[in-house]
Amino acid sequence: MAEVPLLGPGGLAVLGLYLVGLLVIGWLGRRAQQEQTLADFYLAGRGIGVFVLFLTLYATQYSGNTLIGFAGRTYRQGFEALALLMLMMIVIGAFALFAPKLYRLSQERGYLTISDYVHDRFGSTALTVSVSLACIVALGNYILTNLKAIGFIVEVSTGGRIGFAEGVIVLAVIMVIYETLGGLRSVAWTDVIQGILLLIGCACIFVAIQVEYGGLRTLAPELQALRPDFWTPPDADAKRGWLSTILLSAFAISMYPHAIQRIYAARSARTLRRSLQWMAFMPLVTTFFIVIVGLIAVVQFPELSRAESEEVTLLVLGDLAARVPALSIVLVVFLCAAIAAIMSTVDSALLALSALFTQDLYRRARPGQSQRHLTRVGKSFSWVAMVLCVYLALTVPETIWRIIEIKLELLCQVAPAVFLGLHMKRLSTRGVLVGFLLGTGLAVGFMLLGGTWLPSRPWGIHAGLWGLMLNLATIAAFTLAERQQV
Amino acid sequence: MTRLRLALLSLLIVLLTVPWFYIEPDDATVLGFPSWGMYAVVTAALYAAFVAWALGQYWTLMAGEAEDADG
Repeated sequence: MAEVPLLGPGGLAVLGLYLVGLLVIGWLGRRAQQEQTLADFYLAGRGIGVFVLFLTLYATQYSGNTLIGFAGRTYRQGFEALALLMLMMIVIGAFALFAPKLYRLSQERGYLTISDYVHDRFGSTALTVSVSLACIVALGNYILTNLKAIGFIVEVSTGGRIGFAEGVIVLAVIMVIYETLGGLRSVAWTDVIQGILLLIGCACIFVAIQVEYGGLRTLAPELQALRPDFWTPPDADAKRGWLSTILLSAFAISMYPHAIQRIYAARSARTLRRSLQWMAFMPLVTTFFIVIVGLIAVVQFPELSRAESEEVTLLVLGDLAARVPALSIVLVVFLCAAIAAIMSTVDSALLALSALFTQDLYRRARPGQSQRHLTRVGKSFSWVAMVLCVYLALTVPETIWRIIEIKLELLCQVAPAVFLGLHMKRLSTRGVLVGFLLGTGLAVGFMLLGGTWLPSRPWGIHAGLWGLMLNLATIAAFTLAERQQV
Repeated sequence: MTRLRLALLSLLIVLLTVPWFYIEPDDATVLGFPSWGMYAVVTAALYAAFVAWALGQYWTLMAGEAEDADG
């Protein structure tokens, strides 16, 4: 790993201060707790205002992958990575189609999780449990991926002085402490800081590269000379892949249980509407900035290998700090922002995971328990889940990890139950359940067997979308058959 | 406007954000981007504006309050 630390003693002090600040906010969240209920713990008493809601949505949707992974992808793919802009925007477009009604129903019926809605709408325990299990697996994978990313960033930024395992363990403990102290209230308040850091980090690196390197407009002739292929429009396969990527995002990322949790937690419909309206534009000042970083890095650091390109943002930051020592502060802010982005994603996913377990599995298995007891179970589960995720993050080999890394393929099979369930009155419950199972089976089959005798993305379309098409076709067939029987 | 029409309009705009119409290689550069890249950026920005507008304009329609009140 890196031998020269990107974070000096001053940078580490800032990072330490930030982490202590998170614990203080977690404690403040506990003090603000109004009652020992699941709604208070998991939804902050359904009272989050527009400023906090916007920043918690923002910090949660944009993970470390946005800051680090997107630049590496742009370095390799060139302007085709502009598809990432729509990948992030379309999630808000998808919310626009279902969040207004889901929010209204959540207020009327007191939903806590996505499965609460599914159970209320379809009345099928099998479907509810299936959806809960799919969400739990997806969230577990999401937490694992992000824990690995956070260990990597800590190790690289400290030049190996803090190792991968120590980084993962320390930050995981901090996250689970503030999460179990105040639930969503603490998580959302820490997201405010994390969201602001993320925004400042992206703006800083964007402005710094404009000033120091001259920006994309100045470097375009050099970039074109180095990579003329970047100017070639995507071919038909790549265009289908482009569309497939953004559609998968629309149907899967919008189903993340921690995103749904924030829809339920809004103080009012107006609050939610305003937050989503702002969110629609955030890719233009986050994803777009990072894509520009990746493009400029091609000129500054040509000929990087695939593995090296994954660290391209850090290379740019290190180079900026070496050229202009005053820009070291940008480096510190950006690294804190990257760590913050991952932490805000992991803590939110962990809270949603705990809610799914407590509300949808434990409460169903042991009805009649008090709210205080359930809240305590949820907090204990958070600790157990985090310990398990940390253990897996440290021990599962990369080769096995690639096989079990299934998130979006599972989540997009939940989408028909939400999108169609909300807007279509006559929908076959059995069709939704069978469609979910068949779609999941097909998507997982493509994922596991892809690259052997079966292509992993037939015709350039993601496995999850093939599953979704089978899912929708099954729902249509069952619904039509049931209508004919009536 | 109905909910279905709004969803279809949204899908149509999403489809148009993919640079389908750019097929031949073109060396032209617009503000540092190839023309098809600039097209992708501009259409993505227009989509963001559409989503923000639709959220403001059609929230009540998408919330389905009138439909549920009608039973």
